[in-house]
Order: sequence, then structure tokens, then C-alpha cells
Amino acid sequence: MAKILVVEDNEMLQEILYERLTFRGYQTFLASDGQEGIQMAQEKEPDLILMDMSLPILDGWEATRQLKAAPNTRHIPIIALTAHAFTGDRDKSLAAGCDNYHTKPINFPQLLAQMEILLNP
Amino acid sequence: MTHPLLQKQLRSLNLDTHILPSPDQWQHLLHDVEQAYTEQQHAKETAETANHAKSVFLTTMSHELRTPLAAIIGYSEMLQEQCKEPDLLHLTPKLRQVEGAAQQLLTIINDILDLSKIETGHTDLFYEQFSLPKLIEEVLHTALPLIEKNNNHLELSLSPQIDTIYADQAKVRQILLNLLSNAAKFTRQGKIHLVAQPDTPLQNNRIRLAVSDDGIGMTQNQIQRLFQPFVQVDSSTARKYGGSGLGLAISQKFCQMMGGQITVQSTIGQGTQFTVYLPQTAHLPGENETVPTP
Repeated sequence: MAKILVVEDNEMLQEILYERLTFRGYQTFLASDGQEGIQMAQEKEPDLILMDMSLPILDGWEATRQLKAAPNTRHIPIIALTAHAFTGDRDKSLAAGCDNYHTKPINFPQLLAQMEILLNP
Repeated sequence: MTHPLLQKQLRSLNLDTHILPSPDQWQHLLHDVEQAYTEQQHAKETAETANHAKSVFLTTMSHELRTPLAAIIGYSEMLQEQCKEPDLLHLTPKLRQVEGAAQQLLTIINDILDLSKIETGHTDLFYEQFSLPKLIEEVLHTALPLIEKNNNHLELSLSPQIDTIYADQAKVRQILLNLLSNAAKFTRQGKIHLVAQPDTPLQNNRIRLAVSDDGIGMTQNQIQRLFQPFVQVDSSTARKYGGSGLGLAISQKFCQMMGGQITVQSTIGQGTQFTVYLPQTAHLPGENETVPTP
């Protein structure tokens, strides 16, 4: 089953994503900031990353840029989780190298569909 | 118009056209006029600052409200998935209620956020080419449970000439959903009809989307207040039918931003028809531009 890395600093959202993805059979890993996200991506070699954009230490845009610049992680598709309230977030995430974006609050069936497209191109 | 302060001054001087004021009196008058002007400027600036602060506050608050709300929705969805075991199955309807109420709250918060963004001129348009029939299908899928809730049935008349459109897809979706959910809300055991066609054979660069119902309808007086934010046709409507009362104000603004318009026709007791006109191609220069709103 596919390995998913969730980079999200909100603990409740972490738990919800972890439980719901695990429930569907995905092997799920969690990271709480951009720095940890990059580290986990290198260690666990996930098939897809769900990346929140406003993260502590290293934000999602910068983490994405670094992941997409590194030879061992650049192939991993990234879906940006962006906040609805702040305009320009989705353009910024695509410019940083994200493969797609999903606007919060998460619409789970829609997110799963987006994930499936990137996991089975 | 003469400023009230000046009027008062003129009266106190007992001015008429035959007696001119002395230089001293002139000086007085001038001073008062200047003072009144300064005061008025000051009041205007204060009001503008307060209005801007209000909009910024609403934007920030809406965002802060959404985060915990996303958790409530997420957890209730998660629990519904996990309560499939027979001895837990009875919890599902209750969890659905929690989720439904939270979704309703989210809609209202989103409306407030949209409106405050319109007011501060922070509404972005994301133009793209998309299939209108496909969008309509998707919107109807979302709106159908709402329409059927009051035992209404839906009719769709889709002209074969309707194809792709260059507009902001999310905004068109929101406008259509708003009109359909309004029709569903104010109609019982009736028909909701969605028509999508070119405006006229001559005006085929404009698309016409009409949502009509045979619901409760509105009076002329009610129609006039329809597009004002925070106004539902009367205050008991909100209690009976729910909603933020912002949907139409937002839909109209979105429509105007994309170079279109919304019109309404209604007869009390017989039904209402909202018609949206949208340019088939972008009417604004360039893509993804921030359109300042007044």
C-alpha cells in the first residue's frame, strides 16, 4: 500500500488525517514542521506528501522547494494544503513546485481523488 | 447645500441680501465654515478607518473560526467512518447531525469572509477555461439533496450550444449553488428549473443561466432589499429558513466582477426566477488579476 507523509502542525488535523488515511489502508507518517518533513521524506521515501503551507521552523513553500531540488526526493508528488482565507496561496504553492493543491477545510473524498490521480498516473 | 453650522450663523447674524456683514462678521463666518469642513473631513476619515478595521477583523476572525471548525467536521467524519460496528451504528445519525450543523456554520463563516474580502478589495479572480455542462452536473449533484429535502423536483434544460466558458470556476459554482439552494429553501413540493443557454442567438458571447421555482415568491418591496448584505426579506425568514443573508449580495458582486449581472423576477405566492448573465470569454484584461471593488 502507498506510503503517505503528512506535514501538518495542527495536532487535531494530524490525528484526523492519520486515522482516516490509515483506515483506508495507507501507511501514514507524520511530521510537524517543514524541517522534519524534509527529514522524514528522505528517511521514509513516501509515495506522496500532503504539505500544509503555513508551518513553523520551515514553511511549506520552502520545504517544497528544497524537496523538489533534491535528487532523491524531487520525484515525490506533493499536494499543498492551503488556507482559503489567504489569497495567492494556491499560486504560490504551485510556483514552489507542488503538483496540486487542496484548499482547507479538507474535503476528504476530493482529497483522496486528487491523491489517487498522482499515485497512479 | 449650506452646512447646518453656517445656516445657524447666518440666522444669528440676521443676514439678508440688503445688509452686508462687517469684515469682522465675515471673518467669523469664514472661520466657522473652515472649522465645519475640518470636522467633517475628520469624521469621514474616522469612519473609513473604522470600516477598514471592521473588514480586516472579519477576515482574521473568519480564519480563526474555521480552524477549530475544520477539526469538528474532520472528527465527526472520522467517527462516522469508524462507527461501522453493529453496537456503535446507532451513533451515526447523531454524528451526522454534528457534522451537518458544523457545515452550516462553515457556510455562514465563508460568506462573511467572502463579503469582507469584497469590501476590502481582496477578491481575486482565477480565470480558466472549463466545461460549463460539467460544472452544472457537479453543482446539481451537490444541490440535489437540498432540493429533494422539501419534496421538490428538479428540471434541467441544457442547450447543446452551451460548452466551455472562460471564467472563475469557483465563483460560478458558488453563484449557481447559492441560487439553487435559495430556490430549494423557499419552495415546497414544487419544481426547480435550471436553464442554461446562449443569451440570444445574436448575443451568443453571453451565457444565460436561469433558476426558477414555484415557491413562496416575493413582493416588490422585498425584491428591492434582496441584494443588500445581511438583509433577508424579513427578519423571521432567517429563523425559519436559515442562512446568513449574504449569499445574494456575494453572488451579485461575483457576477459583476466577471462582467456579468443578475436579474430577478418574482410574484408573491407564485415563484421566483433569478437570471445570471455571464460573458463567455473573459471581459477583464489579463488573468488572475485582483479586481478592486468599490
